[in-house]
Amino acid sequence: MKVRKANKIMQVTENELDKYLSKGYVLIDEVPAKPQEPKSEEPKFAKVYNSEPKPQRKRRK
Amino acid sequence: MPTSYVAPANNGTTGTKDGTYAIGALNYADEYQRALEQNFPYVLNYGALYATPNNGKYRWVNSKTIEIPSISTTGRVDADRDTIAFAQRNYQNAWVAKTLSNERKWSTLVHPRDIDETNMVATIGNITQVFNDEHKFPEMDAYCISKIFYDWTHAVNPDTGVALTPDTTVLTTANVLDVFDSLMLKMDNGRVPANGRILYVPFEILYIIKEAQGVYRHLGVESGPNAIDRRVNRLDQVQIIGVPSTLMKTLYDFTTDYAIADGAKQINMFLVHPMAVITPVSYTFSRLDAPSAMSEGKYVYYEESFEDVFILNNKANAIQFNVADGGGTSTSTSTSTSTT
Repeated sequence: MKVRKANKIMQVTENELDKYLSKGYVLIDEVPAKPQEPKSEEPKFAKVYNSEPKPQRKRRK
Repeated sequence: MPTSYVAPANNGTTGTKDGTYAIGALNYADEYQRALEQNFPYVLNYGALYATPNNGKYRWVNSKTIEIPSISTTGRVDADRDTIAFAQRNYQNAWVAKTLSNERKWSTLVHPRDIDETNMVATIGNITQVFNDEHKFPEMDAYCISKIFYDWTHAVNPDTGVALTPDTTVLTTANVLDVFDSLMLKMDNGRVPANGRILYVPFEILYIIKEAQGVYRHLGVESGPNAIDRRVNRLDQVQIIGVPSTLMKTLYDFTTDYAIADGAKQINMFLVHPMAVITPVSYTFSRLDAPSAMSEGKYVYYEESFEDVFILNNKANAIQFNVADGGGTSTSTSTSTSTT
């Protein structure tokens, strides 16, 4: 956790937080929870169908 | 006295000729503070600010609080030859209280065998000298510049009441002297004494200034010996001090030592008159204990101090900044290297 007072930023533990808040520091950054990726219904590796016709190979004569 | 002054490890006892020992002073904070203060001008980048004459003008209310005197008077009025005016007090003596909040400590253990085995390299004196030179003094510099910037950006122009904001022009060889000139003009209009102004710049900007000086002097000689640009002359009116760019940021993390904080901006010019700041440092404790059973046979060194930096709000015009909007030194010439 980060607290700030004027120009001074301090990284403090949860136990130290109250002490710093009582000294006039303001909490500026809590440890953010890891953002969860939104679950999508679509499969991750969906087949991609190409609508364009494949170029035909030239046959050797 | 050396910077690394360390109290003698005699556990507070003093020997006499008759072989008896008297209990001496245990806390060496005063002597240590005096030894450091003598070295401040030579070891601190902002040593001139730590040596400001203002430091002798405040009075301590308690170990944390100082009071700064401030006298204001009324102005003159028309005289009258026909009557006697009513006498009254036309000045106000006020004390502005400032509470020091930056309380820092450092300690170390040293095993006596380490001193022997390192051929005296790891003596307490050497250890504290390295600590002072490489950690404490740079940290004091970082605190000084960032606190002055914070105080100044939260103050108002004492003449107009308008909030103070730094100049944010991107500095180049072409405009660096113009920006400097505008900062000087703001001080002139703020009735700041011309003598004693100091310009602190990162070394990258110092190179640009020197380059610009060369360009203008060259132009001056080409157009006539008396036509050297006025702005170059104004540079000669200030003391220019180059500072590592890492020690000219607006914000630091002081959890341990100092580190540049996220979102810190680069200060590219800091023009100041030392009479506008006050930098009290008070050592409350500094002591070296001899090896004992409690310390498991080790020397114990501990120091603790209260210190802070304040601007004098009624002299806020004697401080001016140019700050890069981004994190790096904002320069656009090939001679400068951008650092963050």
